[in-house]
Amino acid sequence: MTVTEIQHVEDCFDGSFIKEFFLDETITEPFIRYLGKDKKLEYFPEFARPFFRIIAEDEYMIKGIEENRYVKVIIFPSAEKDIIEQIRAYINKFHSFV
Amino acid sequence: MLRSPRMRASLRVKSIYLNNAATSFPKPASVHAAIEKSIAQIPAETFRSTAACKQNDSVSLCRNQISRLLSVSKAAQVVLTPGATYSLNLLIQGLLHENDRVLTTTIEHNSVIRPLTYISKKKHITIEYISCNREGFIYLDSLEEKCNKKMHAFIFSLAGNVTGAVQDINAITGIIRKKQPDCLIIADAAQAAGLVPLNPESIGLDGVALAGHKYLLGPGGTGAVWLREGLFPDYLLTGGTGIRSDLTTQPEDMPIRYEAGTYNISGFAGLSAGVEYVNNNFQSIQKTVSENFLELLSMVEPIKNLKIYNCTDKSVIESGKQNPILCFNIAGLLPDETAMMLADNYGIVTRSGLHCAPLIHQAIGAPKQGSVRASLSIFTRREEIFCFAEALKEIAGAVV
Repeated sequence: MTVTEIQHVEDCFDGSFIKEFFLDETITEPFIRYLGKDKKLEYFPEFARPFFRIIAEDEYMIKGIEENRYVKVIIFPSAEKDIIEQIRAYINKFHSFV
Repeated sequence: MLRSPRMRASLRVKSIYLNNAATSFPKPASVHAAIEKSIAQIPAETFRSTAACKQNDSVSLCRNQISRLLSVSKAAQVVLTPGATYSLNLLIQGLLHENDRVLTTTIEHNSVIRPLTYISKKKHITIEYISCNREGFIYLDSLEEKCNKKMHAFIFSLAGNVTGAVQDINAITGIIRKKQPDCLIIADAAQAAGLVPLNPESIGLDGVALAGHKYLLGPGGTGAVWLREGLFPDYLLTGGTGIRSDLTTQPEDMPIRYEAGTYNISGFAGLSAGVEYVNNNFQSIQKTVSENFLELLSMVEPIKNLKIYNCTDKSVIESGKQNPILCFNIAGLLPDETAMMLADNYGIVTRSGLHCAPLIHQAIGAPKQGSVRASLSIFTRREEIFCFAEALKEIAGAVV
């Protein structure tokens, strides 16, 4: 999996900001579980296509829909400065992990 | 991974557009044709070409159609602009003076709030806000209480862009004229024009801002402002007007006084056709939109974990006091999550978040992340409404 583009979406009241990470492949359940490793994963298979949220406390939340080619990432104000690059690098490693 | 057959059946790729409060879509065929014709023919640049015929160029036609829409006596008081934001900036920045006191409301869009905040810092203007009830209708008793002889202007959205509540303009002008006859009354009619009857001259307004790309069915980048005769805001722009070229200062003639620079000719050709469509079909637009909105409400109101913020009262909707906006959230989902699911799983375009109106959400009881907004137009079809309602049922049902 490779992040092809990162777009800024919005700034929030509380200092958080939202980015969209565009991917070169569709999101699969194993990818979601990879993203959620050691994090809080909320997976909702009951929707037309499963929806997920991954929460890394005080750092970020990733959410998206299975089979899409993008995820929405909310970066919390307390996150490390290079958190976006950390998330990008982690996503890009997905195939080697599997 | 388990998926029920019902859920699989819902994975139909559609394109249903329910974001008409942002930009209306589709446009009448006449709008397409007018824009195409305008681009294809020799440019009839108003006052700037021998190809221009004053009574038939798109700018004059557009002005006349808007004048008809507003039932105003002089088309020259209609200034064509790039949109409601420009119109509001002209009214706010151009009319407010040092140390003025201004009253506005918490339902306002940033196109009012930001120019007001900007000018308040520059000219030491005091701004006071009137709040609204849970459905977005402003408190008239609060207006009565706060409006006094010191008030210079009241600036308000005739129809809110978040809940779609249409304010009681007659009551508002009545209160203000009784308490402070000299107070400027400025209406942001971006959400109202095309759905709500407007008659600023007889009601006694001083200025009205219009957006072309919403319910006036024109293209983006078009709008207008109506100014009461004798009211002359300071310019935002000066420049070429095509006539009075001998002057080194901006001509004082209306409306070119405020129309410096080359017109968006094809845009106004499209807007002219859009407003003409509205003028010719106004009653049927109101009736159809109201019927379709009630149909939508009848389908979604029973959904248990759907929180609706807008007014759902049938008599209010039928009387035109509520625009066709469903403002809602689904319990257990943030607004952007619901909107994402509607878009990506059902192909339904809505809008989520604060909708550029940051002050209203607390008053209506929405979370800090805002709400989801689904807005209909005259061209929204019954089957689209049905699909949207079914999608909401599925999503809400899956959260439980």
